[in-house]
Amino acid sequence: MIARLALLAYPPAYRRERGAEILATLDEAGGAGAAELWSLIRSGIRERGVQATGGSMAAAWRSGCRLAALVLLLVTGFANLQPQMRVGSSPRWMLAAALPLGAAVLVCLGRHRLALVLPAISAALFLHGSLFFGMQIGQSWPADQQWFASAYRVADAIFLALPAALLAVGWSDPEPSERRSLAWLLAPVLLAVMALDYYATTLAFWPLGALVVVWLAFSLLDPRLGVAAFATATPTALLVLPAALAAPQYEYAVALTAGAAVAACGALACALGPGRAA
Amino acid sequence: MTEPTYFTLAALLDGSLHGYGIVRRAGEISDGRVRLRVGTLYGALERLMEQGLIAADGEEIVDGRARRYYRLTDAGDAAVRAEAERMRAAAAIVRRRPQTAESTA
Repeated sequence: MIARLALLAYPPAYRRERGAEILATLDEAGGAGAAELWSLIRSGIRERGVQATGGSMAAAWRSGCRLAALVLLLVTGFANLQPQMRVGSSPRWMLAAALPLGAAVLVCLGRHRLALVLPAISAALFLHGSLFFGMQIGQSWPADQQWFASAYRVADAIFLALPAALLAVGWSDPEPSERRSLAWLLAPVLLAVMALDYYATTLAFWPLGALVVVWLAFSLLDPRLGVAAFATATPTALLVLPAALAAPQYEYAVALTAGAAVAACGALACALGPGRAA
Repeated sequence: MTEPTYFTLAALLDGSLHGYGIVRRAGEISDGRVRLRVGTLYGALERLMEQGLIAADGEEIVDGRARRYYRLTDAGDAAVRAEAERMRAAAAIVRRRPQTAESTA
């Protein structure tokens, strides 16, 4: 009975073709101990990964990196644009703040190489000191809140550099299966959630944390989502942990995001780790 | 070539076997050192069939259990022998070196 449950880790078509044979072999081998069950679950998840990516783990990594880049570009673009819109900045600054959103659109269209240019321009503006993550341009901070100003600068650096790095990793053209993945539809959903969440205009903990949890659940079906969850949760957790020290009201978001980052590491190790047979 | 893959191929050198037959044979030829897990075995069988190194060799029902037999292809036979030769050459590099005083003491 437990072995039948473990077999659910395999894709349905594979189960239909091989399920009875695997159960018979397991029975002959002395039944389903913990090690055998783990072996079945791990192999089943890998088999799903192979089917989702045409057999290439490298393709799963590239695709997952592009998905994570898309989410981080949306977060960065939205967090940059929102404060400019609130204070009615000049169109020039609005355009600069929206560059990551433009890159996100290009990623959705499969133009990854072109998309790489826009975060680079944003990064240049950031280095020039004219664009700040989640801040109004020219905004000044009270002396006792200077810590936040430096936290935003760290956030800037991470959220601009990371999508570019992820796009560089996922440099090749998308595989046909990538366009069919429902996971890509989660990105516009994330943007809608962020629009409703006031805190999303600052550090965007909750929507990212929630998205990562959903991805982790679905990463059992498609390892690309495990990659994306890992690449999204890790920088978010890095940002969340120091912020929590200064702002304890974020403690639930901290627990969620840091937990998701740890779980993302586990999901990755399970789905794409070393030891893949043959 | 991973160890489970190597021993799966090596188990089939003497003729076709079904899933549990491969597990048992791999244990025998490795003096009990290698214990192939069923999930690992079927992952390896799947990839080896895709690569043309093994092929299905008939099915039967024994005591109500489904059994599928697998056999080594010519390419599989060549691959496992090439791997054995590679490991022999790699082992020779170490074995022809004189043992250090510390390790013989």
